This record gives sequence, structure tokens and C-alpha cells, in this order.
Amino acid sequence: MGCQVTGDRWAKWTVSIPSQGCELLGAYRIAVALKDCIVMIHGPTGCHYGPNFLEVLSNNLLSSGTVSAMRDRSVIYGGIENLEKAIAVTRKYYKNKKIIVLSSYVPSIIGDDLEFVDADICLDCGGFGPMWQGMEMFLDKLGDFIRSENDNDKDKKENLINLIGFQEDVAGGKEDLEEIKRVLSLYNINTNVIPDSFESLKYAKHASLNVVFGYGIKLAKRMEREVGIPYIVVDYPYGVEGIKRFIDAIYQHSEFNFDINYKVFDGIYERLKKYRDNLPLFYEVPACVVGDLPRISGLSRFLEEELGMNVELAFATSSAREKFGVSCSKFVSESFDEFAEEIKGKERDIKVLFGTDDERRVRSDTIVLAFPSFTRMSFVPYMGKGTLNLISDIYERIVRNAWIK
Amino acid sequence: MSFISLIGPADRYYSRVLNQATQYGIDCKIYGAICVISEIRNAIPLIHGPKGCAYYPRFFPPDAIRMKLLAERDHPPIYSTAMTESEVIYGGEKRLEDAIVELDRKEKPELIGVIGSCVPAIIGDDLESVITKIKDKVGAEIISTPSAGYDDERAENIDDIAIDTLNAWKDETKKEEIKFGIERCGRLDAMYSIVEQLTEDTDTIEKSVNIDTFGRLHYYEDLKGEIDEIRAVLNKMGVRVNTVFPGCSVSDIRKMPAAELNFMRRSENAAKFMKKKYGTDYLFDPLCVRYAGLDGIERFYMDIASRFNLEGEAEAVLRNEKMLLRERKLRKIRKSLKDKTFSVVLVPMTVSIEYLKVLEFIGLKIKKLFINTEWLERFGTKKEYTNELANKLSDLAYGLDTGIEDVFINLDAFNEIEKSKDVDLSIIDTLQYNEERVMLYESKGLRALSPSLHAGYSPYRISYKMIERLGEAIVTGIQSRVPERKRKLLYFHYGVDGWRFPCFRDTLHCRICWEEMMNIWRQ
Repeated sequence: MGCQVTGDRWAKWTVSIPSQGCELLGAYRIAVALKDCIVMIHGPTGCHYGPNFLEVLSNNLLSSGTVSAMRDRSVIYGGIENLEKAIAVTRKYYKNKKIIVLSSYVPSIIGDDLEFVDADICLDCGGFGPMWQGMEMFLDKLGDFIRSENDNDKDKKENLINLIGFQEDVAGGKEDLEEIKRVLSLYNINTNVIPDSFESLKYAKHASLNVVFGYGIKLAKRMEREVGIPYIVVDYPYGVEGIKRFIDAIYQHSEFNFDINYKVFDGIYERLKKYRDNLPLFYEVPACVVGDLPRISGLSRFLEEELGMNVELAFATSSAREKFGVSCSKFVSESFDEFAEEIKGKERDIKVLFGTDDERRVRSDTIVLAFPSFTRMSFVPYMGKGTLNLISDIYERIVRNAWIK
Repeated sequence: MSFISLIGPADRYYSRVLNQATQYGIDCKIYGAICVISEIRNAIPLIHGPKGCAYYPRFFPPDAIRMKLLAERDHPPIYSTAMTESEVIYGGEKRLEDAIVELDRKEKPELIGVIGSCVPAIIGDDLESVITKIKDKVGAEIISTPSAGYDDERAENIDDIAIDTLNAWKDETKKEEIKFGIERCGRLDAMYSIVEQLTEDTDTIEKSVNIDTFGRLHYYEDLKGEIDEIRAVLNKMGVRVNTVFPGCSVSDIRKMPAAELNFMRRSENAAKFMKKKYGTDYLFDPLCVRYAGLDGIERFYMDIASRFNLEGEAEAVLRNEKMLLRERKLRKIRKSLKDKTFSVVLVPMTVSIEYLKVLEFIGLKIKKLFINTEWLERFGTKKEYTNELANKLSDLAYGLDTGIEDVFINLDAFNEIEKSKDVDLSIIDTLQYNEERVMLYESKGLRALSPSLHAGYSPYRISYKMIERLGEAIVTGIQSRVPERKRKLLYFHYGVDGWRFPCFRDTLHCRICWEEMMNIWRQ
């Protein structure tokens, strides 16, 4: 059974527990993925503490957050002076990095004008939209730099596609992305990731297809308009059928030709063969899936289609511009309260829970694979050949249940 | 060296999370306010602001007072009024009203703590008038607290604590003038709001006292043990503890004015309010200046006793407590430590001298003292003051009877270890990253101990029991089989800075940048 997304339902509640962060967090998540940039939040220290908290705990080497540290005098006299001082300090210590300024609610309401600030990218994130809209906004902003690049033959690559909006900042995200790139390379498809670095944006306009992982649709539409690159929107390609479907979609929409050859996935089947007789254990096992919509769409389909599990409940913590079907019995969109009501009393019936750090409170053995995911260390993919890792981790949860009294 | 049983996996995990998160961040006032609300039983925080403000806090470590005094494992649910552009234009008071009614119906809490974020503060929402208007329509008590993130005094007067400490060390009579000027932080604002809006006139209970506790992020300290001990000793003296605040119920707060005396360790404004409104006298000692160490513990009980004319009873009780500690509990410990030598690593703070005296009392021969001011400088204390603090503490330490032969100021971690090779045990308290420092010592085959990590000890706590436990941990420490273990810890495979220990060398510039950026916050 497929459940369709019902859209953003925030306005309905006068009091709620938010299922996702604000626009600022969405923009921050995309901005910090640009390796040659440093991200500064223009706002009070608290607006920086939350995003930075999630960033640093997910990767100890990332610490790109800096802040203009607005205080009451900035609210009265404007915050630009603080911001300029903070930029000067940042330039001193991050010499070869471009500076991105994201402003929060406070400067947005008091009307700080970022136009003449000495930064490479400025974006007002003081709107009241959800996190995913911030991701869309910042990706769209990157379009300014794709359009303005001059044509340069040396930047051209054959059979190039752009992979847009893939979330590398979740546990195993980087490994999943590497695996997707590896699989595509088996078909001689070159990839350019957005966001990856400011520098790499120059390759973007030479791609023949934009592949959008749920977020970045505004950018893709803009690139279609401005530089004539078509786009497709995909969910996360979990499972062998998922990655095949992903390759098919690229095949159908790309201008260059390549052979569809699924033999490249035979290795996964071969390695799984020695545990084939364990697979009936997965059949009809009740599961719950929590995360951003593009991810749970692909994951639920894999669980139900290839493993035969029953996704009893799916909760999209953040929605998307595109409608994605989610294979499940009950679907909740962007309402933590509704999810809490639905899961209440079913904690023991749900045998495997996939989600974010938050779902650890429901089941400590949650398979954490969606944002935020700092409670899990991961060095392996779950996609492509990583399907075997995912199956193995699910098996571990199922078998554990045999010993739970 | 193993951790004491008081410290659970959650304590270690949350402490680790905080160590990482505070490297480049100053938390919002909202988080402090959420912590205080969560320290009240069946209370729920409601953040009046955009939804983003209520999203992050549930990923932050839950409050340690809530965990240890209320035995709750996690945060309460953190709700938001989810303000939008429409409220910015037309005002958010109606939305707040509706939210309070809905939250009351949904969760049936005893207390709803409305926490106002930056946005309602800028647009001028009147939280108090909303509460006045709505309070008869809901079952829960409601309080509001202003928590605009930009309205934060923590940034200021960062040098004052160093200057005051120096003055007190030079002139004992100035000790009591030390104040910790952070009244307008999220935590203290919320404490004041609760006291101001929930307490009510009630019959006085003779010879009773309210005890204020602290330590929202002190996962390693035995917060409950300290309170239990204070309650027991006061009880023996004939003094009743009326309310322990926070870490209590709404009804406990309501009846706070029944006490004749407040002992406040954080919010003097709250104490002043109760003095003015209910005539409740108070003792205030925010940095444990007066009540640190063995003499301090005694002074604490005697100060309370003198308010109730119970000096004689108190002297008898304390004599007995000290005798018990000295003669029965520490005798064996002292015997074990007799021929051993120790080094101590510490950050100069108000309690440093009393802390060294406690170690001396336990029976330690401190051969080497390492004074480290990195923590103070990281949070903005000027070098001129940290130098003076270190030098003065060095002078005072030489004057103690602990047998200190050498005092070293501001060695980096690696040099510190080189100098510690000829002692039996190093006792490390650098306020943060003690665990990593102990790991470094032990990886070099040297025995080391962190008083908080291995004994749940803090020199800021008023507790004989903690001193005894510290002694026991030291005995275990000198018997540990560290030198036999050949550790090659992965943790130290990466380049680590010895001064800003244990910062990655790779990201050292980020740390230095952050420290400099915090000067902008302070200006």
C-alpha cells in the first residue's frame, strides 16, 4: 500500500513538538558541505549553538561554524558591526576559504542589510519555513554561481551528471554517496556533487542531467531554465531493486548512451547466498521508518519489496517539494505529536525501528540513518553493495528480539 | 582505574557530548531556562517562538539535576508555539494563549513554563498579561520567563571572578564580596521567575531552611548524595529542610516562604525577592567561597545554626561527624597513603586552597603542583589576571603543610607528564577534559585520577561523604595496575595540542578563531 504525502501540516497546530529544524538549519547543513567555505551565522550565539552542536558531534573534524554573536545593543543599533568584526576574525584564521553568511531571525526582523557585507555568499534565513525549505533555498542560491561561470572547455567532462542535495551529513552518508558514485562509474557515468565545494560548481553547467535526491528541485528547475539541463527527482536508492531503478531513471533521461547491465549487482546476490535461509526471518516483521521523506520513501520500498517486511508506520520528519510515495500501513507527515500518538503502545510490536537520534528514546537499538544521526558511528554504506550491511544490521535487531523477555 | 558506581553510562555519554559541543559554541538562554523548568516535577517547557528554537534542545543532554534528583532519564517534551510571519506582524499573544490551553489539555502538567525567545521579545509580546488572562482557564500553574538569546549577561565581567579571587586571597576579609555576576542568564532568569510567580504566603515553619542546589550539567557529581547529607546533618542539629530547589515539585516551591532561611547558591535575585516579599533571610555563596573545604562545611552548618540559636547542638553534631570521618573512615586510608607521593593538577579558582587542604587532610603528600590557566583563558579571562592568579596560588600553596616541593605554572600536558614520573599518583582536575588527561597519563604508564570521574567529588560541594569517597578512590588509584598495562590508545594516534589539550592539531586554528570570536560577544 502506498501512502502519499499530505504536505506541510504545521499551520494546523497551535502547540507542537517540532519534527525538524528551521530554515537556518537546512541552509547550514547544505552550506557546511562546501569544503572550501566557512559558514558564519549572523545572529545571537544560540542560533549557532544548535546547528554547530549537530555538526561537530557528527564529524569531529567539522567546525566550520562561526557566529556574529549579536547581543542587545545589536538589536537596538543593528548587527552589521558585530558581523563585520566576526568576518575579519574569520578571514584571519581561514585564509583560503570563502565565507558564507546565513542570517537568523533576529537580524532578519530588525532589517540588517547584508548587501555590502564582505562575504562571498549571504543568505537571509530568517523566514519561518521548515528545515527542508532552507536546504532548497541554499541550493537555489548556489545557482547564482553556476550561471555566472564562463564557459571553459577544460572544465568539461564527458557523460557527466550532477548529483544534487544528497545528505552526506548523516551516519554513513558519505559512504553511501561514494558507493553511488562507484556504481555510476561502472556505467562510465561521471558525477559532480552539489554541494561539494564552491570550486566544483564550475563543472555543474556541463552536466547532461541533474539528479535531485529530494532537495534541490528549485535549483534544478532554474538550471533547466537557464542552462538547459533536464532533471529527475529520485528518492534514496536502498536495496538492489532500488539502485537498479535509480540507474534506469538516469538511463531514460540522460542524453548519453550506456548499457543497462544489471550483472554489476550479481556480487551482492552471491554474497547474500550463504545466508539465504535466514531471509524468511525478515518476512512480515513489523517495522517503523522515520526520517526525511526522500529517504523513507526509498527505504520503505526496499523493506517491503525485497525483504518482505511490513512497514507499519512511516514518519516523514521533513517533507519535500516533490510528492514521494511511501510504502507503509500508516503514514505521518511532519507532526511529531501525531507520530508519538501512533507509536504509543506499539513500541514492543515494532521489531525494527529506523530513524534519527530521537528514535533512540523509543528503541535504543534504532538503526539511525536519518538526520540527525550523531549517536551512530558508521564507516560503511547501506546503499549499493552496502545493502548487505543494512540487511546484516536488520538481522541483528530481529535476532536480538529472540532473547528479549 | 575504574569509575565509581555512581556514574552510569548515560552520565559518561552526556558529559562526552557536552565536551564536544562546547568547543565552538555558547548555548542559548532558552536551554538554561528549559533545564530549570525540567528540574520541576511534572513541569513542561513551552517555547514561545519559531519552531526552530524548540528543535535543538531535545538533542542536548538532559539536565543532571532532573536525572539525579527527580530520577528522570530524559527531557520533558519540549513544545513550541511555532510562531510564523503572521505573528511577527500581528503579535503572538493569541497564539500563545491557544497554545497554553491546548498544552494543558494534552499533557495535563502541573506547571507550564513559558519561555519567551528572541522573536516575541523583539515584537513586544506581553507574556505576563497572557498568563494573567489565561490562568483561570487551565489546570496547570503557568510561569513565564524572558529568554531572548541576545539579552545575555554571561558575556560580561568575565575578569571579575579572577580579580575578586585575587583580592580574597590577598585579604581574607574580602572573601565574601565575591559574586558571580550572571543573573541575566537563561537559568537564573528562569529560577527567579519561578520563585517570583509561584511562591505564596504561608505559615512559617520554625527552624526550617530552603536549600538551593546547582549542577545542571554536572553528570559526574553526586548531587543527590550532597543534598541527602545536608538534610541528615541539619536534621540532627534540629533544623528542617523545607524545600530543595530546584529538583522538587510545584507544591514544594509554593511553600518555600514557610522556611525561615534560604541558602542560595545561584540566584541572589530570587533570594532578595523572598526577603522583600516574605521576610525570608538568606545566605548566599555562589562560588562556594565561604563554604568550601572542611572549614567551609563547618562554617555552613554553624551559619545556619546561628540563625536559629542552635550553635551548641550544631557543634556537638559536627564534632561527631568530623570524628567519624577522621578517626573511623580516614584512618585506614591515611595508613595506605603514608609513604606515597602525589602530584596535583588544577585550575586556580576560589576553592583551590581549600581543595588542597582537603587533600592534605586525607593524608596526601603533594610533591608537585601544576597550575593550569588554559580553561580560564579559553573563556576569556585576560592573561594578566590568570598569571597573577597562578603566581598567588603558587605562593599560598608553598605555605601549606602538604610538603609541596615544586610548583609549575602552565606546562603543556606532555611536559606536565614528564615532570610527574616520580610520583605515585597524579590527581587531575582541569574542569574539563579530565578523562582525556587521565587517559594520556595512563597511556604513558603513570597512575592518574580525576576526583569527579573516579570519586564523584567536587570541591564546591558541602559534603563529608564526598571527602571520604575521594580518599577511597585515591587508595584504589595507587593500587591500580596501570603500569602493567601497555596501552597504545587510538585516541592519541592523532596529533594533539598540549596546551589546548586535547584539541586536534588539525583543527587548532578553529579553536583559536573561536576564542577570538568570543571577544566580540563579550564587547
